[in-house]
Amino acid sequence: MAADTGPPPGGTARRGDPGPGEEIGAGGRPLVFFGGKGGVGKTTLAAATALALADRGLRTLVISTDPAHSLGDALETRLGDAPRRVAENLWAAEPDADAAVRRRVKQVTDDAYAALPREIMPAVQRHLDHAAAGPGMAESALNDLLVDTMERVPGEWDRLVVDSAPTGHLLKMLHMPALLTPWLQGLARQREKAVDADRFAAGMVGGSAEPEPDPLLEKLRARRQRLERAARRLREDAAVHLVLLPRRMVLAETDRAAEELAEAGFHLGPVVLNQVPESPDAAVVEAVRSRFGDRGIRCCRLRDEEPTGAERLRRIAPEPL
Amino acid sequence: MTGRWEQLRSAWRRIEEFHEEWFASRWRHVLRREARTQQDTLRAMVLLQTLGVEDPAAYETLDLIPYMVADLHEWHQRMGRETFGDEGVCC
Repeated sequence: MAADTGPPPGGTARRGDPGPGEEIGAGGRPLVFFGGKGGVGKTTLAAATALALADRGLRTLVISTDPAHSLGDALETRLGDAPRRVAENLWAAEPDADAAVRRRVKQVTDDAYAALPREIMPAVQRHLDHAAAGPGMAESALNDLLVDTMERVPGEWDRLVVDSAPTGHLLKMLHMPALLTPWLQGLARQREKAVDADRFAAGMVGGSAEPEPDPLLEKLRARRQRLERAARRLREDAAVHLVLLPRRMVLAETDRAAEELAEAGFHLGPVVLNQVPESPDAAVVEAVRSRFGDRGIRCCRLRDEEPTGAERLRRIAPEPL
Repeated sequence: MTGRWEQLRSAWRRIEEFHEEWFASRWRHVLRREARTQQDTLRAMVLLQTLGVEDPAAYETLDLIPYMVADLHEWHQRMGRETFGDEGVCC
């Protein structure tokens, strides 16, 4: 698709926003997310963007947070749980959600062994295994891994590119810290009050119980702080790029996703209009322009061959609409 | 003289016992009960999860589980039962 349609309307430039012709992720925001409906090409664009950033000399890590990974297929290489160097300045990983859940359960079990009576450990183990098999655990574990990784960028890496799951999953993932914060605050407050009242009873009228440090409360506080930090970073340091195809149904869903993401407080970078055919539906292109023009639009034309592997990925150069 | 001191002392002890019985222990009791009520609430929040109420925070609150089991264990022992619940609930 030729870039002969004039400069995109500007007007909402902020720190880290790519200029009209600038590459996605090259600005100041170190966390770059790709979102959108399933099958629109998020993984391919994440891989291509990461490669382009690495080629510019930015140390870049690209990870997939979709439990059904396909990032390795896009890069035509085998990826694992730990980041692996796949090109100059480029690292990639497909985090293993089940392994992350197992690690977390092991950590909780080890902490319990150190703090609680031995005779209850078999029961503890059973309850933990039961909880670990519950719904949403793998997804939460991936979210947890993402939080860990975010804390290493900038630092170990200059840019983190995240190949996200479909829109619903992305929204949920981005909402999670906010969703959890009041929960943990509630739990912490309950626990604080209970401990306070106990201490008060013991202290005021000379009871026997000595105030003890509360390891559980400390742990809950630490997790809450960690999630708050992550939520702050997602709002301040991340740009979400929604990927869409020039089709009415995809546009409608992207529109909803954009609204919800913006409402949640996330910064939306330019959208990527992917797989644009030689003669696209002009009405849809016009609708995309009027809806997303102020954020910037990048176009990728439809190709005959599937763009996998570094060579072909480098040829994807999103152009301003 | 000594007998008088003795009387005074035992009177004070009685007053102290009275105070302990009628005031301090009641306060302690009420406060402890308040502490237990709040812990019960917390327990309920966590155990709801085991009853199948989906909890978006389940992953983050995994740390609570060992403490809940320990709490349950302490409680059933306090109640004078060596074992508690069906197979696998506690011990």
